[in-house]
Amino acid sequence: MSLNLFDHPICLETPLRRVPSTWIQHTPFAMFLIDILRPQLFVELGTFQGVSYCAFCQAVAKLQLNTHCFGIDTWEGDPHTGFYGQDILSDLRGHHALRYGSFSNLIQSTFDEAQSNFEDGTIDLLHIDGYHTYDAAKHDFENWLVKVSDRGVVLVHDIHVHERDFGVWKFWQEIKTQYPTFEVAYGCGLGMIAVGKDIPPGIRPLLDSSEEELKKIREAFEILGKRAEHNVDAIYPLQNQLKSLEHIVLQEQAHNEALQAHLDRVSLFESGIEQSMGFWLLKKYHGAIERFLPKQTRQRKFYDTSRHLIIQTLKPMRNLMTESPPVTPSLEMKENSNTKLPQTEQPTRHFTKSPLISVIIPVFNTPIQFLEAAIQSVKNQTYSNWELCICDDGSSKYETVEYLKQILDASNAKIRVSFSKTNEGISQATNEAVKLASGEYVAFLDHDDELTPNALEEVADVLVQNPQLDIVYSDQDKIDAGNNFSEPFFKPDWSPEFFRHVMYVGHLLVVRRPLVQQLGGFDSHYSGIQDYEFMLRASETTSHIFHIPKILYHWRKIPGSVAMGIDEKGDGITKLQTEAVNEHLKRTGIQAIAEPHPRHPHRVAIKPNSIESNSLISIILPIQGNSLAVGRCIDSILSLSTYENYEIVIVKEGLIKIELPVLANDHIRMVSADEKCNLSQKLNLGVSRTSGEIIVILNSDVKVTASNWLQTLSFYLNAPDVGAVGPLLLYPDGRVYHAGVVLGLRGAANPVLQGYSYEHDGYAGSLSSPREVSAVPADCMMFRKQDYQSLGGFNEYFVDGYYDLDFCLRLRKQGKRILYIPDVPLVKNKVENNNLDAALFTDRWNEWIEAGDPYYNRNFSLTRKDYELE
Amino acid sequence: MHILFVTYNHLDTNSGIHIFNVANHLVNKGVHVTVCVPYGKEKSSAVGQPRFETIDFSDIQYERWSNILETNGSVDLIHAWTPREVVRRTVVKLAEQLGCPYIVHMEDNEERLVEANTGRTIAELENLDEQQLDQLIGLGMSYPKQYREFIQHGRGVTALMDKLLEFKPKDMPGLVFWPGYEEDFDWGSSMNPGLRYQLGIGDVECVLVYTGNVHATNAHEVSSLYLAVALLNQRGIPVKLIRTGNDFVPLENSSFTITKKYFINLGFVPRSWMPQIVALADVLVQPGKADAFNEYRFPSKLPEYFASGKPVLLPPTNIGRFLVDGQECILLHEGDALEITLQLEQLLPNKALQQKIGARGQEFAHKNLQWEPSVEKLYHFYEQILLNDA
Repeated sequence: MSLNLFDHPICLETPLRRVPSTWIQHTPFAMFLIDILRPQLFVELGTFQGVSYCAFCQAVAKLQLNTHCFGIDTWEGDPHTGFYGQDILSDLRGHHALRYGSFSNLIQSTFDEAQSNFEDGTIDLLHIDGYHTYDAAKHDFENWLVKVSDRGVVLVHDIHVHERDFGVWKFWQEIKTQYPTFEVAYGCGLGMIAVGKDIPPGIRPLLDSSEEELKKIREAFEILGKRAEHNVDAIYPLQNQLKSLEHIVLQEQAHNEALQAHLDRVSLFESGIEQSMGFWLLKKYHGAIERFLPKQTRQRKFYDTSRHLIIQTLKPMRNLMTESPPVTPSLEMKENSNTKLPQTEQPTRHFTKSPLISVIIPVFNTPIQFLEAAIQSVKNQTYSNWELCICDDGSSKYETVEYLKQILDASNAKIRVSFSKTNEGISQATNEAVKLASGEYVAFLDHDDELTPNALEEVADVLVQNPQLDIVYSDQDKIDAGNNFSEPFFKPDWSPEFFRHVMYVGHLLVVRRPLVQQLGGFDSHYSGIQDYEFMLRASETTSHIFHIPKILYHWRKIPGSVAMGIDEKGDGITKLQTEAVNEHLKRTGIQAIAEPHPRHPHRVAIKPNSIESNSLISIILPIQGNSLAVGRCIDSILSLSTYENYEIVIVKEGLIKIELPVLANDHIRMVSADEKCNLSQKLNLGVSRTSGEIIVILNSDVKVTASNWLQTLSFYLNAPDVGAVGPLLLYPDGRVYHAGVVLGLRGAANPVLQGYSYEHDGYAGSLSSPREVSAVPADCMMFRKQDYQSLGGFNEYFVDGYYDLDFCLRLRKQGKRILYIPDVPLVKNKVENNNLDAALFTDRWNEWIEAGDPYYNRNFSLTRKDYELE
Repeated sequence: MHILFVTYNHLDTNSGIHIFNVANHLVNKGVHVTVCVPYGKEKSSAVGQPRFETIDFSDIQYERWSNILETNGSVDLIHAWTPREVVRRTVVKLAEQLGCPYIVHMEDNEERLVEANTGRTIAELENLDEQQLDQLIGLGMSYPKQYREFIQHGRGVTALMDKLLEFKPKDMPGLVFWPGYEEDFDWGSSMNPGLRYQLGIGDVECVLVYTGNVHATNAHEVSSLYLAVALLNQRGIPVKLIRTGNDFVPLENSSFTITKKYFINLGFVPRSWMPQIVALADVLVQPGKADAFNEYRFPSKLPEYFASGKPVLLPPTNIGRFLVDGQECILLHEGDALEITLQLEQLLPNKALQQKIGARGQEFAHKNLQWEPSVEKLYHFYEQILLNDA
């Protein structure tokens, strides 16, 4: 008795339901059985993702049979499949409804409960693939046997699985002695039992053939099964995502190849060069990737990430990547970073208007090789509308003066040099050089530093596009005596509060010339930090200050310069800096005193003058979690706060009673929120019950640790253009929990420097000094009620999180700044956010996230949290 | 009159369906029509019953082409369906060989598409030679300089949206015609409860339907719709979203993976299934906002959405500019998930409002989104072009 599979071409159908499953290898056999049995009624127990069930249905539809099909499952899972949600059934229904819905039904039920829906002796084909213990398999078989027709056939899956408590194999060993059977071992094993008294003739070859013939039949089905399986990959989730990208690439590639081929065939165009097929395909594939997934696009990043992940997944011995907060973090601007420096672009733009930029160099006894290099870097500019204004500050070195005279003698109209008879210092020399300038803008270049070739072009491009700008600054790095580059310094966009504390602007600095003149140039008293002191004064008259996030300046690192190390000029620099800031505070009427930072050189700590408790501050405390934490939080406020005029509004859930001794206090009021209220709704309710004009929202798991926390936060909020302030938040062990939010960091937004010691300086003072950030968290945030009301409060579509970041970004959209304040750290325990809130946040602020966080330089990696480059 | 359409893809695509309907209606008016596709001429029958000849590029040099010319007469006018490079090269050659004029059809902001797909600006691309453009862009899109010259040397421009006529020279004849819904399908059919049951949609659940592929230019918009569905469910309004089409790029946010149970993905489905899928919807949403891509296009699914009598949410751009907000449709101004959620929170519980807006939208479709009057306008445009050329 022989079996010719070519008589059943249905076996060659590619299964339409493609999800990873060992059953996929049995789909040709399933389709074959449908063809040969032509059942009136087919039932499957244990449909799960529907790989087997849909294969049976696909055959029924293709062969246009009158078979009724039923797939039965709870779709809740079991210990063998794992437990899962409704999404498996939803996905199956989406595939199934329109294809097979006219003859098939999915029944969500236990097998036993579903049994009563079927008459005895009616099922022609029953597939059992439920819970795989011995008892369950035996129970299902015996329970449903009565429903099977006289010509009925039963299929049992997983008959060759011996792991864990799988017991179908044992049941199979028993049953095969009682009925005629056929089995295959691949795909975890599938057994067929002819249980009816009228065995369908079509399956006789499977039951009665010689062992040799059966072996051939099994091999044939196995080959077909492997072919079917080929369409589903073992690492399905990642592969599927990658495939979706490759699909479009290959589809577009195929489309274009077809277009080209057809054009060639009508002899419209010349034919291409013949090459080996493998090389050709590879070249085309990579070409297509480059073409359809251009670098720097989101799709390309996803493709690269997916590809990388798959490669990693396929390396079994690869160490798992783990993430833990660094124990000894190092955020110094690192040495030897030549290879990691981002490539500086060398664009050549065409300017319709080209402002004249005067490059200012004060010179004093400069080693010729450095002076020559500095001047040459100006001559090498890709932007042509510049002039060079040099003032020699009474150099005593013959070679320096001679060199400058030679330059002057070369009568290059673009270069002007003046010579001072005496050494007046760098500030005065700079001012003298500015007197030579006629440009609309002046660019300051120190005598031994260098500009990158595109520096002035980048600046001019920005100035042309933004004619209102008064000041432009760029990123910088260092250059040593051997012309090696290192220590790139990537700065935030203009951050006036940060600048009050940290001299971060540095080089390259370009200023509108009339502004320099108006301010009287550099002040000799501050030589050493003259450019910083100048910027403080300049920032008091203009806010049109722009940052170019590109390295346009190489700062010479030689012994004796600050570039060599922050201690090179002793603590004199910090003293001058403090003095400059104090003068600035006086001029601007800010009631505070600057002092050198207690831990970090070249940083200033600003102490507010004593603030009287005039304004009522309302602290909103939404209660979540245990009452013990709430008690600790309130206790810390009451016992530590030296600011007296405050109230605490506790927002509790519904009728829950909170009985804590600490609550018996005049400062405290209690508000009940509906139990269904989410966190943002609770906060809005709380704010509506406050009397103060200054609001602080505080998470109940936060503990106050500084007595002057309210005074300090109020001080920073006092600036009219500040919308919200938030303190440094620490874990109980002193590591950083929150030091300001970076947009786009690891997804929608995340806190930076998490896990670092609170004593760390951060990246150029970013942890130790107050600074502008995109957002601060609701764990502790102070703002004005007036601003809150103008925004309509917190967005209540956010449930547990991101409403705070959304609030901050809306403040920023109104032109307000958000400040991170490390001076008064609070301690808190970490909580997780709702993922949907993150998605909503990303959706709302997508364009801002894409544009990059202005206070986190675009050159930093967004996959790390510590100012590292990619 | 013998019109030859030359297009960049086979007809079982959004663009191809437009050609299919235009061609069939032209044939009804006694026009001889030949449609030339690069490949896949057999796919015309997947769209419906073609009453015109479809050939592919390779047929042009063979007997079949001679037979067509013999039967239909020489070609009077070539209608280049988009200025994309493969069309441009073919049309330029054919126009010369056949000695006939051509006009160009615009359906998208070609420049924006090229920029989005290459990550380069038009100014940058303009400096590249043709060989470099072949490598970078490919023949399925427009080349910046070449497509403008191609339009300039044509006799006229047709466009799906008025703003697309900005790309033609001022003194060149232009025609805007809107696509229609396919009258052969019953777009206003009532919901099939059996199908709803099969899809596992509960009695109290509302249904949104989105039919269309996800690609680089609309992935964010579709993500917003997914997120809105998740938010509605989170806020206690049970909603299911039924999707058709392929995802050529992954959806951006994680809402899909978090809340898969709210989504039913039917994948790519035959065209004939579409009416009963649309009929499942309580509300139809075309997510997005006014931008350089959306302003210049006419989303293909909108005629059938409006013809279905269901209320439609869409951005205030392209066809949205011609609809009355709150009466014929609901316009989305931000187009983000939150706005979709807010609008649906108002609309879904209000069956009367749904019915009213759906009915007014359907009236709009019956009045403005039918192929026959559009093709009538096109026919007269052809006549004008040929008259000018005589």
